[in-house]
Amino acid sequence: MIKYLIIDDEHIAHDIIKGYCDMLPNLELQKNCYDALEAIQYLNEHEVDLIFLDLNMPKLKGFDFLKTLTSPPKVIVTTAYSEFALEGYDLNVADYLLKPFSFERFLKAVNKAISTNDKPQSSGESGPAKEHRIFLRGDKKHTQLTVDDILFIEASGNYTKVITTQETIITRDKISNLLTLLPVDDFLQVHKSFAVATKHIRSVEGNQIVVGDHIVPVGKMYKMNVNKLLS
Amino acid sequence: MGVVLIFWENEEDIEPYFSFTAFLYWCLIIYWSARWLFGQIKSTLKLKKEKESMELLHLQTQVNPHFFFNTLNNLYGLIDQDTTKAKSMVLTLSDMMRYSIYDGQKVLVTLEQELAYIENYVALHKSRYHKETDIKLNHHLQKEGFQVMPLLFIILLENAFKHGVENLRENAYVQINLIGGENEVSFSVENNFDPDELAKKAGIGLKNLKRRLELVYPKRHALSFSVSNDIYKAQLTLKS
Repeated sequence: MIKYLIIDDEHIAHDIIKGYCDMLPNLELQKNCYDALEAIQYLNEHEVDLIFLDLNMPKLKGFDFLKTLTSPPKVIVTTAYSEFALEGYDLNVADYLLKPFSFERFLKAVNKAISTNDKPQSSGESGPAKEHRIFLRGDKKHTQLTVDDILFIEASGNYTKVITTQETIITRDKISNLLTLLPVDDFLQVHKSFAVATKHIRSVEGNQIVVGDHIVPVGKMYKMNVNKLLS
Repeated sequence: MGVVLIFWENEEDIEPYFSFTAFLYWCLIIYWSARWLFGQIKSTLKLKKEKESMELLHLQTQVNPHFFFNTLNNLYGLIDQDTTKAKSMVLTLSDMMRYSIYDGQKVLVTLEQELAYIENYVALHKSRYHKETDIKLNHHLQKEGFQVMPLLFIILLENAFKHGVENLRENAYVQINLIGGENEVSFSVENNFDPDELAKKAGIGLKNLKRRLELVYPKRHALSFSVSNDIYKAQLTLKS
């Protein structure tokens, strides 16, 4: 479960974010905060994974609030102010959403936030490293999957097929967009339309790569990438 | 002058018709110089006026972009929740845009139009926040069709919201008065604010307002501000 907070002084903004989050599995709203002080109070006693943060609020502005947090969770800024995006990157926010934003854009932000889980586990729960997961947008449905299970992805027009060890998911996203969500070190583009998970490669033979039970072609331009992997 | 002296020296020899020609000649020169001078003055004045109207156009306010995008966001959220309310919000917003874009360019508008704009602005603000806000608008217009320069009052009103309502967690209030008399109109806005917030120096909006007043209402306006504890009051009076 991904626990999240919404901090915004306009109530309709809460409804929009909550509505979007309800369409995704595994996201759990902890509290609606109407200013940053409320959020600080809550965070003193609880931990969350993700915050949706407005910038212009009473007393404590969004960025000043962020600076008060010693180990901030993932933050997605939601605001009507486009001029503060640069400062946002300085403060290491996961994404910057300009109001009003579409569900597609929102989903991208959430994926960015939860897939860049570089923060060391601060909570007591030790054990295996958190599984790296992303949401994929299908037809009227969003599927969550573990990045480790992905064998390869294949472009088909404006859609991309994601082939995992269990299933094949078709997502309405271009392959280039999808690749930005995946860890760079684990995926290798081997063809204009194909990228494979290196750890699932069984064998490389000529211009073909065997991944799981599938055969993936290697493009001329991408041959170098593959050779680098072999040497 | 040299030419004149020569004429004077030879005065005795000159036949009468020649002196008449000289007279005509001088008249013509004076006429042409006067015409030239007049043209110069005219074009200088015209240039000055053009410069001022260009400056005015530049200072003209538009709908505040943050206000605009936040309203669009609320609208976006409302569409699914409450279609009727969303529809009326679209109308209010388009009225405001139309007024700001088209009427905002005019030199003068009626006080009634200006009041409608302020009412719309207040209405959209009221539905924005989660917290309770107390916004009151009193108005009394004695004379119908009183002419004012557009979008002057809104700057003071925007400031009241920006430094008051937006910065307070609770108990924010804004009290607006618009009184139109026979020959003058008086607008005042009072709001409470958080004294802990750093008082910033006058923003671009206020600077522009002052310049516009100087250009269009020279010596016919009074703009004053008063601060006491946590209450801020701005007042603007315009004479027709």
